[in-house]
Amino acid sequence: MNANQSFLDHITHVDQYTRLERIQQNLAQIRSEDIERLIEMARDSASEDELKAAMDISESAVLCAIAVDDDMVLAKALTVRAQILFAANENQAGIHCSLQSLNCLRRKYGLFTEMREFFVEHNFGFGIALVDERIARGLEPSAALNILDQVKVIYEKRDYQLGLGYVLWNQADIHKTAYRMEEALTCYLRAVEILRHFQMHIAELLINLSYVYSQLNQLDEVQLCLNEADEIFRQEENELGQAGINVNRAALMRRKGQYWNLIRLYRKAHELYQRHNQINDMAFVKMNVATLLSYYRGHQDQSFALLKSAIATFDKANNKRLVAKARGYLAYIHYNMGAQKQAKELLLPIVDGNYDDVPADTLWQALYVMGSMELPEGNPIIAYEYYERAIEIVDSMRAQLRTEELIIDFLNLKPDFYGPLVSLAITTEKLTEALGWVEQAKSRAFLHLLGNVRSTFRSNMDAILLEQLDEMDTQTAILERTIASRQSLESADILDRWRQNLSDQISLRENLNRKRKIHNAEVASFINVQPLDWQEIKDALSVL
Amino acid sequence: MNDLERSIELAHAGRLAEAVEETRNQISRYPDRPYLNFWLGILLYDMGEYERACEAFRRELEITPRFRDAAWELGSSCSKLGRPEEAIKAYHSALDIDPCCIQSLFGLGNVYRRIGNYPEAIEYYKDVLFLEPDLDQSDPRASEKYTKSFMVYVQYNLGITWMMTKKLDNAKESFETVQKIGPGGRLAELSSQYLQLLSDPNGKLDLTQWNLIELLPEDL
Repeated sequence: MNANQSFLDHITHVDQYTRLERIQQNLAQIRSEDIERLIEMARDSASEDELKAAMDISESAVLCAIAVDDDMVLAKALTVRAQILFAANENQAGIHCSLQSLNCLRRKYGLFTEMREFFVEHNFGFGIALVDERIARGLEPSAALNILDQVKVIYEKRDYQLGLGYVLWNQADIHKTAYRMEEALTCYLRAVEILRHFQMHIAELLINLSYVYSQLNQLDEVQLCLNEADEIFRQEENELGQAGINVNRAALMRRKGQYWNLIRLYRKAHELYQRHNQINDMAFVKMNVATLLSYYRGHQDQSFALLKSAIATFDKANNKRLVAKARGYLAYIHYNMGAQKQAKELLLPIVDGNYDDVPADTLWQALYVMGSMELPEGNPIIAYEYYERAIEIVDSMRAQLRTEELIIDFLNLKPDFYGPLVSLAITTEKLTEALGWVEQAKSRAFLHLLGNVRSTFRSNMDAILLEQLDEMDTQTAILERTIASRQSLESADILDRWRQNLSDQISLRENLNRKRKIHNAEVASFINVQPLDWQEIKDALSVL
Repeated sequence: MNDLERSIELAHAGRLAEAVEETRNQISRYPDRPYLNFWLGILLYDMGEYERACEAFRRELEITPRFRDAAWELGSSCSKLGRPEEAIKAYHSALDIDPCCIQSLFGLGNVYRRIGNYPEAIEYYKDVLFLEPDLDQSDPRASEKYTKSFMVYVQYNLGITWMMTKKLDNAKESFETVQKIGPGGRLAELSSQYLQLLSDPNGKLDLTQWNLIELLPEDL
């Protein structure tokens, strides 16, 4: 103890500057073992009545470690000091030391697991949380969410608001990707509230939030988010941010059905990206414009040219995800124009798995179109396989939807899979499978679809169409009752009735589509080519 | 022979007044039938009767509200009548139906240019060019007469508007493009004159000597 006291007297009973100066003057005499001794002393002194002493000692340890320029020793010193500071309820200083410690470890280690082991060895929960937050980014979504929940608890306990903001942002991103928009919204809103206080990345966060609002169909909120983000980007003179805002505004206007200013928004975004030589972003804008052009008669040439140019750009950047997406769009335009051969050539590499990480939306649409093309060519078995693969993807996407509104919206956007599947299963004499699809069709919110079609288009429909819908309700009810009675399921009668029901449904859809074409050119295409959001661009480009 | 064929035949034979009469007869028999009023509007527009053309296009839009071509033709008629506000409204409604309607974008450019709002006019001309970006010789679509001649008009008007805003380098670029994509035509000839003027190292360009507006081509 005397030796320790003497050592302490040597370095602590002077002000900090003098201490550091003295330490530096005597650098040759300071050994790592001495600092380790200091660290141990600080740790030993960390009982409540000795906290003050522990803090002084740990501070000296840190200063010594800085002087000897050894990351490992400094990380240890900072970790111990952070623990002492937390014990003394000096949370912000503790957080600062912890982050510095993590920085030292980063310089020392290449892997997060090694950093984590270090903090485990030092029994330092906050440090573990810091590493876990970073590890979570590479994990699959549910594991990441679990870890981030635990991290959140620790951050809240230490009042680490900035970290909490980023954890919430991270969680929100995970929910968003998994189509859990309500959860994403809750997390984003809290993240915005926290990060607004620090004025950190608010504009980017608002763009993310606006995407979620748009998915929840809260378009006024989207507008507010974009306005605020726009204002921030303008103040920062961030032209790329403004370009992103333009693309988002265009997406919003497309959602609102207000089209007159769309080209201006896309062009301005394109010009800004061009000014900053953002080739991929320019191509993405082109892809947006191409999808827009493809809806309207007389613009196919331009649409083709823009999509081909976008594909070439993405190909050059070796971004297979975006190549697949753009090829998908190009294929749909060919398909809708009756050029099935070209559509097939474009889609085959997508459905054959030649591209990595094809977006689920692109993949199921590609499979659906391939199925639709194989059917009239007399290949019902191949068509069946394509539809089956498509429906698996759609179901996995649908399973992640929580809210009634989202489910209905999602269903309304998708073509009817079950009809063709049941028909094909019957044609290829797969009766058991046919009945399975009937069952699944029922359980997968078949009624939601009808309900939504009615609510969306009621105002635009004539009396005949409404009568048809009512008739469909009756038929569906009959079908439901029949399916409920399992013993009679295998009778040919039921299948015939289903066929009839199916044919009615197809006819109804055709009617509705005709109405849609008249009332909204945007949804004229049978397949839903969604406008691209800035968030989607960011997600896609992040893999470059 | 369907409702319109006779009227179309008359129009092709240059007998516009009879074509109008024939179309009016059809309209009185089938007042709610689509496209009849639109065709009537086209005939009246060609006869220079813009006020009555406007009425016809408006009636057509009552019958087929999302008929893009009727909306932009209404814009053109209003523009001819010197009613910029109504023209802008009509063009916007055409763009709401089809945001890629280059005729409306071009029309808006012309309207804004006429009322002296040159920056906005330039923006609309640029919007058109954004949708038709690849009109060089390597582009097979450059051979398409309509598209190509249309772009000549756009570039020419843009060149003139750049001159009005004293952005002479930009004007030069536009006139050079006119010469490139529409060689031998009237507008290429005019562009050549402007280019000479713009590249005259001795003289300071005096826009007041040039009645630029009168030299502008007709709207499409």
